[in-house]
Amino acid sequence: MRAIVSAGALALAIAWAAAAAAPAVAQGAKTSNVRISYEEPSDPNLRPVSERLKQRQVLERLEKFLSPLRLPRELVVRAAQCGGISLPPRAGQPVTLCFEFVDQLEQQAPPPDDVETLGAAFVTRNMAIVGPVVHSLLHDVALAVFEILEIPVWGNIVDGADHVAAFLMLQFGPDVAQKTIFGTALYLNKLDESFDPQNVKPHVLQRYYNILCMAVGHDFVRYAALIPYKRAEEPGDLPFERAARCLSFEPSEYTEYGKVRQAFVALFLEEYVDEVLMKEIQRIDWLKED
Amino acid sequence: MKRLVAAVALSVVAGLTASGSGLAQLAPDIPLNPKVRIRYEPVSESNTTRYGALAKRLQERMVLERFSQVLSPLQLKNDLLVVTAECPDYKYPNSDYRGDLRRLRMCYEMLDFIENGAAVPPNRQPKPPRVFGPYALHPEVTRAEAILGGWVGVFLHEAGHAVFDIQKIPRLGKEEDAAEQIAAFIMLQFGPEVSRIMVKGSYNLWRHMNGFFGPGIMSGVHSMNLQRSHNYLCVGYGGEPSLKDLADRWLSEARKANCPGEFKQAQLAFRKTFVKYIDEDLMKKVKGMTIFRRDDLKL
Repeated sequence: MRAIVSAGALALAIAWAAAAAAPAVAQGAKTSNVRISYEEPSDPNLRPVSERLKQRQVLERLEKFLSPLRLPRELVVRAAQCGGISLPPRAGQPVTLCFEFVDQLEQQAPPPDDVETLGAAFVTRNMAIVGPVVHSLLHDVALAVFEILEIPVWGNIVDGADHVAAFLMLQFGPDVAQKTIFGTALYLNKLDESFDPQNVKPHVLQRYYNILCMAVGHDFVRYAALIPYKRAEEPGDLPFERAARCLSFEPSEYTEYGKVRQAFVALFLEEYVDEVLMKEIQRIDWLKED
Repeated sequence: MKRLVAAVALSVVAGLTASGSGLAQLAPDIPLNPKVRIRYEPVSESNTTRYGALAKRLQERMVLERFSQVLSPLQLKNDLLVVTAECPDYKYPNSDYRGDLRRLRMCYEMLDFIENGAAVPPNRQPKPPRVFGPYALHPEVTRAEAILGGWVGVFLHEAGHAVFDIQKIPRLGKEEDAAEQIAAFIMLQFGPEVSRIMVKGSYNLWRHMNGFFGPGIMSGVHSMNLQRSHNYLCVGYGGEPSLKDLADRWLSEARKANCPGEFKQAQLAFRKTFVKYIDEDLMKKVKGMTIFRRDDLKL
């Protein structure tokens, strides 16, 4: 169960980008209009998970990370028992990290002395737990922020939130980014979901490839293990045909990553982010204590 | 915006009118968009039989000139080249926009594929396709709807790419889905009758693509073919309640419930990213353009 503790803490540590969190978290940061809460689980089996998330100040760190964001109204982020691994995001409703989700990740992750493979990449237990928690929180916060700020999103809004989550995950240092991206990718790749062409959400494999595409677009050398270049394609690889559309030797506005970066700057940074505070937040080494 | 979009349809429709006779007339009081350059590329000798008449018809009907007129209210930041051309670089019917060339290319192969494939009933297909599912002309879609709606859908999709790129409109999410959504949104600005034609034609085209070529690939930049057909229909129904009968038959209840939200998402994105580039005075003139002619539906 220690993995859960680490996972929860690390998740936020990573996502919120940066260092010795405790003193900073204690000060709090209310400029974002983000409010957090921990609910008590009625299922006693989930209480250890709940307690550890609380002890590690997971949501406090998220609140701190989001502090540069200027929201005109309150956004509630809570940790709670959901009755399932997730709750469908709804306008005006809290973003919820479900205890069941963290519990499931813990159960599905490879044992501490083993790894899973994804293409030619290795994924450790810690990565398999941390990555999806970070991604899930950032994805759901992105959806809520789209709604609160009336952010224009062309195309599938789930993809838009995935792109924002992946973009943020890729900003916080190459090692942390790699761990969270690989962990998230493994989670999505293992989900068993039948294809329904009418589903409003993209198929989970489409989301998987989109995240790999973002990663490769950001740093194709670091993520080369997922590209079948000069070798046979393996399950989990980003097919070369797609990869060629994702990467660039120079920063390019025509890669998916490049487009998301441009959109992020235009839609968020220029209007809704306190840049001075953001730079302060980015200097924190969130992984230090984890 | 209604008539602007309607005018886009007209430009395409006019070009596709199989029975259209003589040269088309341009609206005299509407200028061409100074940033839009047009070119009708000749058909190669080896493909004259297959695409020659189609290419000639497009030029006679001044499709691209009309497109330029329709785009006249749009204040483009850079030139856009719009061409009709053969596209031997593709193994399958396609059209494209290339940002490095700022070129929108409507391929004769795609138009031929729509006219002689998607708009043809299964028992009259020119050759037996590889059947992955229901294909060819949907029994509830007319040939005219299949051609007009299919072609306009492709055109608007590529135009969406072009405007996104040239105006540097921010996109979160997949580029191809973004282009699809702006195309579907624009289709709805024509009023119920035109919207119906466009949405049905696009639904039919991607359904045929699925039946003919297969579902697509999960790792691709595009959504799967059947996802695309349902996306058009869902945004269509979300913004045009008169399409409810189609939604009732072709969409699941769960998806139907989400359609108003999908339309509102596109509407918000349009308001926040497109409207600022529209010249209202020119818009009023474009609104005066004729939309559909009776002959356009006799395909």
